[in-house]
Amino acid sequence: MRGTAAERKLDVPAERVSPSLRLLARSWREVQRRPLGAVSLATVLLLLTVSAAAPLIATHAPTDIDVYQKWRPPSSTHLLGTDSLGRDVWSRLVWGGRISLAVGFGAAFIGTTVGALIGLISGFLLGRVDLVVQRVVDGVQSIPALISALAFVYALGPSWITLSLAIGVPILAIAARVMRSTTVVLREEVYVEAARALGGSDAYVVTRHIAPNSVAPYMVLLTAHIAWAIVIEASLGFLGLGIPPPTPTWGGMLVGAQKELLFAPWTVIVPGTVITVAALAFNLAGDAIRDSFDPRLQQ
Amino acid sequence: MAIPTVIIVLTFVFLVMRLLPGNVAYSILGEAGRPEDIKLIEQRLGLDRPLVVQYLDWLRRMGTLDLGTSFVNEEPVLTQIRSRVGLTVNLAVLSSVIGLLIAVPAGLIAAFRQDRKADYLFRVLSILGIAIPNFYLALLLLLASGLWIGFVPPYVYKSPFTDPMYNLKQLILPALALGASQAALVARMTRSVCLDVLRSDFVRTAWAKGLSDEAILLRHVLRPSLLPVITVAGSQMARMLGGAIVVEAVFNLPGLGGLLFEAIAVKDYPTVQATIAFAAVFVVLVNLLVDLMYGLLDPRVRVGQAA
Repeated sequence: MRGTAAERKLDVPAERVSPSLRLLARSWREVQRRPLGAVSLATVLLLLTVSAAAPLIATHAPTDIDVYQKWRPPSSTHLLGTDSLGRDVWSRLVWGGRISLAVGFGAAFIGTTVGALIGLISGFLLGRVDLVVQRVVDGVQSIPALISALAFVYALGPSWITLSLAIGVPILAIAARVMRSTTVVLREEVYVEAARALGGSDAYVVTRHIAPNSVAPYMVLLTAHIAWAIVIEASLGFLGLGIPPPTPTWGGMLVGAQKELLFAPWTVIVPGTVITVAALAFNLAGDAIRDSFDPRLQQ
Repeated sequence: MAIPTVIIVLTFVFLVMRLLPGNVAYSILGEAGRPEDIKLIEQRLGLDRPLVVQYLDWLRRMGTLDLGTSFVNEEPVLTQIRSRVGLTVNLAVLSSVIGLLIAVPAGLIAAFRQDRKADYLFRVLSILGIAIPNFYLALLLLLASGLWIGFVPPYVYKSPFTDPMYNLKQLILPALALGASQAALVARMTRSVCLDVLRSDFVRTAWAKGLSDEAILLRHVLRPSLLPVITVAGSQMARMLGGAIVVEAVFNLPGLGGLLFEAIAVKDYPTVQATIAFAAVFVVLVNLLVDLMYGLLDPRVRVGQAA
């Protein structure tokens, strides 16, 4: 089957609109309909661009220590001031974004993907496999995410990969649950029954019917968890359990912040606000993506 | 249902803590550790035994509440946890109460004034409350109160039963920081449930009877809305306990989180392992308790009874 029913009806198109132009028009409609979502998406892109361009826009090396310049308030040489070791806060911020965003994406990707696969299999097979998987998922989900992440980091040591794994595990449990319920609904659909009646194997049904229809909930889970993973990474960093110094991370910039709060507030407010803005932007962008995926909300 | 979950949770903690089995003794002693010392530590922790034996022994000991002894001060871990857990529970409960006291009226008012200024303000605040990391909010509260009202919470912990005012003074800022995200979620839930109820027939009847706004909101709208609200609040308890650990660190409070971090800092392996296991199981039990409470609140939800 090529093209949708509507397209096939128009066998002689009155005007040839290129697909990319059509996509652009649709995107513009979405922007107008959801200005908040558009602003958040723009913020997300800005954060990504700034982090990617860190070597170009950082004014100092993020690890350069200068004890004679410590706790300097924002000025023309140090745009956002300096921290307790005289390091440039702006430069640490843009470099730190790389790690924090990478862990955020990494954890959300690992957790959602593995969890989705587990949920898909569990929901498709049902029976004893499903029972065991769901009990395990229940157990993992009942552990507070931060405590489970803490245990992982303690056992494996902090690095980009282990942090993503540690934060990914609690996400995995949630993703597995959501995906299972999606699959349980999908496997009862008429078109799945039809595919089976035509002699489709399990593998065929899963890859051709169930998996493609699970992409939307997967995307929603993925984006929703990025914000969450960024905050957990920052919490671990703040507790001194993130990527070890001198590597800059947003959470790591806040280690010992409560001691500097009153006389060098910029060292606390700058990274804290950026973490909040990032979490907010990813959250709202996720909501907007969810809404535009939801056919019930389309006019 | 709770017992299999507890066993799964304990298995999970056991497996995670043994992801690098050979390195436990090494990481305690560091580079300078002599092979015989490493052996000694492994013997003491029982790490030289087969994994299955270790696992069964771990389950048995957890089942009998034998959480081992600390490496650092030779104190039983259970004694340490007992002296610390009170504060964490105190903090979690206080912030739940404060959260509910703010969230429920806010959600109710936002629903009543839907799409007006109060509702817009409410929506902005609730989105912000969910996004802001609780440790950053804790820092901001500390900064604001230090700068503007010159208030810094006292250091030594006193239980609410010996000195309630002091306890409140000490925990009010941490409780606000911890409760904000929960309050935001609960308030959103309250708003959406109340919106539904406001459109129902019995509320229209109440308007038609000429009842006052207050009477309708309190008697007819709030009451049926409370159950789903409590469900959300209850499901947040696990997150609260996790969050309490971070917030405790900001305010230097000697709770369960404090115990965990001190233990991590001095590589006190038995304490770390037991504290994590305790916290995880504790959350499972709290969740169970919340589930049982629904039965008390709503006669329609009686677990294990045929409809």
